[in-house]
Amino acid sequence: MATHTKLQLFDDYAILSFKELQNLDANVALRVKAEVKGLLDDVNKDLIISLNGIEFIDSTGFGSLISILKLIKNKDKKLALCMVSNEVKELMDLMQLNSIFKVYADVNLAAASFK
Amino acid sequence: MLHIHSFACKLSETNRLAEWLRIVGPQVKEVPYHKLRFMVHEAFVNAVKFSEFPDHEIVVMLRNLDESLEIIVTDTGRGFKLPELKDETHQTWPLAKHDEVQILAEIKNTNTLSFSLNEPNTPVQVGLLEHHRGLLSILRLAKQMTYHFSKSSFNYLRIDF
Repeated sequence: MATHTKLQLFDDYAILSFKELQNLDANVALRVKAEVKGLLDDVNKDLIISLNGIEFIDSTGFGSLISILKLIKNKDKKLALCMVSNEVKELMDLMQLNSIFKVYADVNLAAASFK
Repeated sequence: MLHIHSFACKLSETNRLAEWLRIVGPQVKEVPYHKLRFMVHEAFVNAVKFSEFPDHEIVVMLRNLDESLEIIVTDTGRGFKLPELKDETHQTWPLAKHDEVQILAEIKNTNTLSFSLNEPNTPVQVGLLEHHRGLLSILRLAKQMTYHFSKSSFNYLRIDF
C-alpha cells in the first residue's frame, strides 16, 4: 500500500507532511489516520502538521485530524497546523474547528508556538 | 440551466466529481467552488456509504432556481427508518445529538424528511459528532435540506443553497 505521509523528527518537535496528496477526504482519510497512528507510536514530541499541497478536506478528513489531535493530547503534547490554504481555512471556519486547532502560516511560526 | 452527471458508486469517484464541478460550477449561481464541492462531495460520500446496490450509479444534478441553487444527489440506500412513535407528519426527532447540538429530522410526508440544525450560539465542533458529520456539514452551508425516499423508485437528497 502506498504511503501518503512523511514524518520528520527534530529535537523538540516532529513535522508531518503529505506526499502527493491533494485531497484529505473519505477516499484516503482513514488510511492516512492509520498510517499516522503507526508513525507516532514511539514518538513523544509536539507535532506540526503541514497541509502544504492539500487543496480539499472533507468531514472525514477533518475527523482524522481530530483523531490525531486527541492522540497527541493523550501524550500531553501539542499539535499545530501550518501551510493551510485559504479554501481549507474557510471550510475549517464552517466546521467550527478554528477553536480547537492552532493554525500558523509556516513551520517556523508553528514551532515557535510550542516554546 | 440543469446540469446532470452520473458517477459510479465508489469513493474514488469523488475526484471525477470534483473535476465535473470545476467545469459546471461557474455556470451555476455564484457559489465559491470549494463550498459547492464540499456540499456535493459530502452528499455523494453519504450516498456511497449507505448504498445497497453498489453496481448502480449515483446521479448528481445542479439547477439554478430563482432564489437558490438546487443540488440533488440520488442514492440506492434503504432510506430512513422512521421511529415507530413518530409516524405522523410534522413530527420531529433528533437524528444525531452531541451535548447541545442536534440534527433534527422532520417528517414532511411519508416519503420526505426535512433536516435542520439546532445548536447553541457558540456552535459545537463538528468533529465531536461521531455520526452524521457529513449531514451536519451540509446543514451549516445550506438553506434547506430534504431527503426523499421511495421503495418504488430512487432516493435522493435535495440541498438548497
